[in-house]
Amino acid sequence: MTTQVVAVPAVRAPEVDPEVELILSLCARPLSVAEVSSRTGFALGVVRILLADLVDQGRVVVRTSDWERARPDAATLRSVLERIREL
Amino acid sequence: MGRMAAEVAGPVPDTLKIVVAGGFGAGKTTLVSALSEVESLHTEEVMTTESVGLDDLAGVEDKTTTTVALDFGRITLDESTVVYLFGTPGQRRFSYMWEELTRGALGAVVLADTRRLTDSFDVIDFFEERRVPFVVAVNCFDGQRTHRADDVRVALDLEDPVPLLLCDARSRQSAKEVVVELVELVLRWELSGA
Repeated sequence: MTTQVVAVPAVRAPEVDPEVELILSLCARPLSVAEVSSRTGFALGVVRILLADLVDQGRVVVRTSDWERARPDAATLRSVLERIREL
Repeated sequence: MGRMAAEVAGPVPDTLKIVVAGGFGAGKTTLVSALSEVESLHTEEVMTTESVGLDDLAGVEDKTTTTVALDFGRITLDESTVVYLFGTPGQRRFSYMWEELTRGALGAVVLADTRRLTDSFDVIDFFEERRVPFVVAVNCFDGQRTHRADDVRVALDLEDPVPLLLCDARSRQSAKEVVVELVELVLRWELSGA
């Protein structure tokens, strides 16, 4: 859900369905899957399917943070703490 | 993948996920909104669950499709770090959501409402069983600290190392303290090798 999605800029953009075009325009900058769902109004399951197709077509790339596979180390946690306190 | 993404659109931030669990009306959305840089975001997931009906007595299970709303917020700590807060109901019938939300999560906040402490029991059990680091925040939204933290700890049967604090979910400062408490707990786990 927090996996980041980024559109790959295309020199010649092929015609796409409006919902796909909407997703691609939102992902011009990195955006989480949950935010893509929130901003398009499509349910998460729908967004996941559309994104999977776009990944297969090379139109978007996705990245899941290493911190979701393993807990961040102590130095990272300390820096996160510091930043949260500064909010 | 990460490098490829970086080439096309600059740095892709690392993300931290925090789950905020609590019963209806406990103040989850309020807490998330107090911290989120954007208005609390809303998404929906269609879930298939096995419903328990009378037929179960005969071992027959029904599948029911339900739409579940998820509220979440975003905090950008810097260009390379983003924290997401996901609210989820704390009752057992939502446990199928907890599975997905806690996967890869840094930890969780159980937002307790002293009028309905029992709403928190199931999710606390879940986090304890799955070894998800969590803190309990008692939302004193009427501004009156009518409950002593120790009494709530006893009522929830919390183990000693579980941090418990009183908060006002409407206050950004107070909400921040809750998240700080959680990250400090995760840091203690990391340092102790837990």
